[in-house]
Amino acid sequence: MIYLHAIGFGLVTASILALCSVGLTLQFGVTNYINFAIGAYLTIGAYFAWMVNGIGLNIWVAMVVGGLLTGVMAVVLNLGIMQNFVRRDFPVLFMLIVMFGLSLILQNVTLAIWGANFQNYKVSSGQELSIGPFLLTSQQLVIIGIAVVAMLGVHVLLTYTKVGKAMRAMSDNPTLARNCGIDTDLVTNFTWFISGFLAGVAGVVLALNITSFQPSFGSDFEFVIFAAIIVGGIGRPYGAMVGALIIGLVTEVSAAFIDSSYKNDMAFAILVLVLLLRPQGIFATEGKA
Amino acid sequence: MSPSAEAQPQPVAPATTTAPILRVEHVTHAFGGVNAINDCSFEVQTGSITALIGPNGAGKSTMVNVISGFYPLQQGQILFDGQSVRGLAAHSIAQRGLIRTFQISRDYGAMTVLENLMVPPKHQVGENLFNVFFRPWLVAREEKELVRKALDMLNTFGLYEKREDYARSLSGGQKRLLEMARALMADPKMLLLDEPMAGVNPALADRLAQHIMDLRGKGLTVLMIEHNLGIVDQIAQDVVVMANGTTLARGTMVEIRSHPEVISAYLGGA
Amino acid sequence: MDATIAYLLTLAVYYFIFNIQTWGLNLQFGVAGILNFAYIIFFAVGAYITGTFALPHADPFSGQTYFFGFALPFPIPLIAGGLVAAALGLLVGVIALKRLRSDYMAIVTVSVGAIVYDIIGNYFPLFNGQDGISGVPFPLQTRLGLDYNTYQWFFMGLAGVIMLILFLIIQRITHSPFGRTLRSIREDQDVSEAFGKDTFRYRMIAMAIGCFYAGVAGGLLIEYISAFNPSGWTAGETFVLFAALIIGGRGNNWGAALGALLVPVIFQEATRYLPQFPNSDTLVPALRNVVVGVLLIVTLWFRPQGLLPERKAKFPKVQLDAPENKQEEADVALG
Ligand SMILES: Nc1ncnc2c1ncn2[C@@H]1O[C@H](COP(=O)(O)OP(=O)(O)OP(=O)(O)O)[C@@H](O)[C@H]1O
Ligand SMILES: [Mg+2]
Repeated sequence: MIYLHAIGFGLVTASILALCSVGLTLQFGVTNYINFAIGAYLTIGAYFAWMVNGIGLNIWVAMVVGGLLTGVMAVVLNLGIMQNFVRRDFPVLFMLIVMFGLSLILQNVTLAIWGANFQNYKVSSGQELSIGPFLLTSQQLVIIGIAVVAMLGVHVLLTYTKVGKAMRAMSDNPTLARNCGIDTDLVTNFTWFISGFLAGVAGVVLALNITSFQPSFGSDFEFVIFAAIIVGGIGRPYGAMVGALIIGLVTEVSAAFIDSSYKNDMAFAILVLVLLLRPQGIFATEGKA
Repeated sequence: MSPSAEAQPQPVAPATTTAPILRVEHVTHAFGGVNAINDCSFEVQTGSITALIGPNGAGKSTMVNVISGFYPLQQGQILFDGQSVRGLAAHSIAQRGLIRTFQISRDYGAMTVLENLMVPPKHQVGENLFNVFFRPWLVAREEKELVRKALDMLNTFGLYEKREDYARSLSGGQKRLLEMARALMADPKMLLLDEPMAGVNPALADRLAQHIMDLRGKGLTVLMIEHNLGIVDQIAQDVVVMANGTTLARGTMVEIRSHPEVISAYLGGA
Repeated sequence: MDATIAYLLTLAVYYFIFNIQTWGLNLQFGVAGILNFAYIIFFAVGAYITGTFALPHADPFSGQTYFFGFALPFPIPLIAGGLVAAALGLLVGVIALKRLRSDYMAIVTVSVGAIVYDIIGNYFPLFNGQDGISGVPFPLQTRLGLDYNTYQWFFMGLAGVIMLILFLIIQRITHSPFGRTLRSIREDQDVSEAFGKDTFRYRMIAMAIGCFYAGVAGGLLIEYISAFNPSGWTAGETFVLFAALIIGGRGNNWGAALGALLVPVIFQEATRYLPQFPNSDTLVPALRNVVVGVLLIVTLWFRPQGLLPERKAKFPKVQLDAPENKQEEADVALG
């Protein structure tokens, strides 16, 4: 029975992971460097929503506002910092240092503004429901629902919209995309917005799921997100969804067997296995590696 | 030792030895289900200059990457110097004397021109840290020899004056010269040149062509990808034509020019 | 001893330790182009190994739990610290350095950092978890029978000598043909591979040596302050070292030393004397990290090569047999 419950929790974690890893992997595909500050984006999204929630708005409204603000922040940071370095043809190695620095700056700005104390949202503690074999709170059900809607949204975006197709084109071949008249700056900023929005939303639902949070909680989750995108093949949004599912299930189910304070380390074990055996990701034939 | 002694034009003649140094047999290479190379076979005679020509996207660069071990050999067989390259890492193939260049010239930008040339020599004693600390005299002696060799090489390629400049500050044409000089520092048995004259002016292209002919005089084998058929005509004994991932024709340039399929697939379109 | 002198002595020892760290990082990042975002982990491992090799067997009544406890004499624990860190570096390298893309290196090392931090912090039987280990004996103190003040001078000298030896070694490596091959791999790994260099092997060696330096630096720290716990090696510390190296001048060991002086020593120390106010115990370190981050990004923007850039390689003077060649004429004649 406990495994089935664990699978239920796994689905919740997978949903949270899917939200941020799809955005992260999309952004990687378009910009070709990874956002090392993703953990800080999650944290900041959670705090934005906490402030909105604090002035009396419903948590789900706060979540949307938090996501939007994080998306705007992602665009502003891109315009202010990353885009300038990219224009100067900075090698990826140095872009990663910039992102690493940015992550530290954001994390400490969060700490300076909101302090190190644990915070939580004003929400009615959702009641537990048994759905089939799973035992989940209504909140967790909503989280799964949000992720499903977001994944469908990303699918529609990539398949049917002009900007989504442009994102895919840039991911496949940036020079060609530019030569085909795609406004790459615009698409890049749009991608940052989507990625930031999803990260902000993910931060809020992660905070809800673990009930209380402080400035380092997003960064502590960071390598689990990395595991999900590498398992799915870096730069591949659909792969990231599957990667999130695998990592979410494995971490939660393993918590039924081992000390749960090490459950995230299972994500790392999978990451290592994938890097050693199939570095292009489990599903990709030949990835951007 | 003076390289200029060889600077007379070599007569364009069939390769003197007939044993192939490189055999490519039924090689197929797919990128995610699409075959960039499809059952391609050809060989390169020892001591020859062989040109690999073909329209854009024919699979020439992919072939260079497969031969040099940058892409794993998926299907077929490649023999260099009588031995299969299957399963060998790129650096092991290079150590056997097969040295390649890249289609887009790639220098060590933040290193000086001279230092660029000091990298390729194989098995340098100073690359082993034991020697660096416990046999420094051997390292010093070898460094001196290599510097002499490198300066000679720069002299030959007209880059002597640039020896102290950063490689990234060179012009596009100078980078091409640097690339060839640098590849030669590795003492190759065979050179695989991917469009060594791309983007250089005609005068420099002639100079590069002359350098390549000089190499043949020294017993090197060269396989070069080249789009300029005038130059191919001038320096290559054998020509391999690739189109759509496979060999369309092989022979001398004269034979190739009259090949009907080649004319329609390549020459006609060019 | 005068308080100022005692303070300056401490600062000097810290500076020596930071130097050793930035040199190791310089070999990895500045010379070989390896992005090791878990660099501080190897420092920590060196410290813990040195500490627990020097400490006697864990006494259940002392309230500390830890592995090892060999009570070995100096310098064995210090060397062991360096070697274990190097071995761990190789292990991480196997996963991180196989791939060409630097993103993988960065992701793997960041993850390793998080995991090791997690395990050491939570698993008390290893190195006493969050509480850390303490009571590490001062090297050679009882043997030499020095009083506290004299011993401070002695330790500074000892650390200075170790630093000097490590400096000479790293300079040799950096400017050897081995170092040249590492630089070539940093510039273009594919090209070096095409010249027959086993680039993975070279990078593994650079990884091991760099981690050895980190380990020895950590070992020296724990021998000096005799205690160590996880608050001393957060991800932010790695960042401070990167900032020091990049601001000082990557690829140049003198630049690394300058950066170590400017960033961790002068900047971090100076901010300790800011006026105290409520919450300043979290606010000041947070703002300090923000400033270091901004400094780094500003440096990358305005002076990416750092204050003391990597210098051009020097070579022995060689007289050519045939100086200015007649190549041009030969070409013209041909044309
Ligand atoms: N890494 C890759 N992934 C997927 N497809 C590739 C890759 N590299 C090459 N291709 C495809 O394989 C085919 C052959 O490419 P290749 O670069 O070998 O051509 P080429 O003959 O060198 O052309 P050119 O004369 O333009 O250099 C092309 O259709 C190209 O799009
Ligand atoms: Mg090509």
